[in-house]
Amino acid sequence: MAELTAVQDLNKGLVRENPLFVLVLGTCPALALTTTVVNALGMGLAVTFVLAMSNVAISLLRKVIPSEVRIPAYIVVIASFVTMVDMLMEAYFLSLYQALGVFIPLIVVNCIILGRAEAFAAKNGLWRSLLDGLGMGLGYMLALGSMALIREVLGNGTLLSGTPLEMVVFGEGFKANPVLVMVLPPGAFLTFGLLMVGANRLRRS
Amino acid sequence: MKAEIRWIVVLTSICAVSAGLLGLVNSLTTAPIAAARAQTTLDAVQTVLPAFDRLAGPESVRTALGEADAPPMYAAFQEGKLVGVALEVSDAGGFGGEVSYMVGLLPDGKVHALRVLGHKETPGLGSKLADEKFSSQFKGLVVPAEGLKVTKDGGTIQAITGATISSRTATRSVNQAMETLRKYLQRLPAAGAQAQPTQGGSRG
Repeated sequence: MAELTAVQDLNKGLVRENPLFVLVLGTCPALALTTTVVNALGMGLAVTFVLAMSNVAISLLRKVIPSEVRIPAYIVVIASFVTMVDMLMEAYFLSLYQALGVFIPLIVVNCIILGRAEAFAAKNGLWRSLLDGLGMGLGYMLALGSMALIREVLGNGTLLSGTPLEMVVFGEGFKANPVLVMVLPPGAFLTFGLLMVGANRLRRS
Repeated sequence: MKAEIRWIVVLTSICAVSAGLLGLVNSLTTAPIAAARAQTTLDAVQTVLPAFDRLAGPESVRTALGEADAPPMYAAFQEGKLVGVALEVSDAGGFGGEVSYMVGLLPDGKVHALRVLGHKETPGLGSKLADEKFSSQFKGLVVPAEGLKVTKDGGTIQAITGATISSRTATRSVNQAMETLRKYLQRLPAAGAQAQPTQGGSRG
C-alpha cells in the first residue's frame, strides 16, 4: 500500500475502506440496530469513541506489548473502554442505553476494533492511529446512519423518532401502514446489500 | 524463560491499570446511575396515576400491610383517600426476554395507564410497546375475570403489528397487577399514614 497522508488516514474510512460496506466488519449490530436513526447514530458514536481510544492506547503500548501476548492485551484494553462507555451511557443517557441493550457490551467482540488494533494501531504512531480510529468510526457511523435512514423512513414512516425533532415522512396514512418488511431482518439485508453495491460503485469511480 | 516473565508482567500490568480505571469510572457513575433509575421509576409512577398529593413507596406499603414479601406497590393518596395504586410487574415471556411495566390501577378496579420500564424487544417492532398508541388502549378498561387478551387470542387489545408476542407481555402484566391489587386492596388504605407528600399524576 502506498504511503497515506494524515488526511487520507482520516477519510479512507468514509468510503474507500468503509468498515461496513467495503471491509464488511461489524455487520451484526448493523443489521440489528439500524431500525431508527437515533439508535444507529448512538451506536456509531459509541463505536467511534471506543475505536479512537483503543487505537491510541494500543499505539502507545505497541513497543511494550510482546507480540506473543498481543491479542489478550488488546482485548483487555478494548473491553475496558467498552465497559466505561457502558457505565457512562447508563448514567447519563439511560433511554439510549436501554434501546441499544446488549450491543454496547458486544462492541468488545466487534471485529472493526480488533481489526484496526491489529492492522493499524500496532504498526503506526499515536497521531495517525487516532485519525485512523476516528475515520473508521465515523465511516461506520455514516454507514449505520444511511442504513437506518432508509429503513426508518420506509419501515416506520418517521425520521428521528425518539427525539423532539421527530417528523413524519410521507404523511400519517403511510405511517399507519409502512413497508413493515424494512424494519424486519429481511429489510436489513436488502438495505445492506443495496448500499454495499452503491458504496463499491462509488469507490471504483 | 525471560520472555515468558515479560509476557506475564506486561499482561498483569495492563489488567491492573484497566481494573483501576474501571473502578474509578464505576465509583463516578454509581450515584448518577442509581439516581437515573430512581427518577425513571418515580416518573413512571407519576405518569400512570391520577392526580395525588401523597405517595407511599414499596417499603411503606409493605410495613403497612405487615407483609415483608408483598410485591412492590406505590399507593397514591389525594386528601387522605386512596386514589390509585402503581405496581411494578415484569413478564419473562417477551420476544427478547423480560419486559417490565409500571401499571397504574384505580381502587374501583379499572386500569388507569401503563408504561414500559425496561425491555429488550426488537427495536422498531416490539419496542413500540412504549408508544402511547399501544398503551392508551388500556385506559379505563375493567379487567374481566379471565383477564385481558390481545385480539388474536380472542380479547380486545389490538396487538402491535408484527409484535404479538411482545404485546402479550402487556396484557399478562396488567392481569397480574390486577390480581395483586384485588388481594391487597382492602388493606391498602392503611398505608396512607406513611405516605410522603409528593406531587404528581396530573398528566393522567
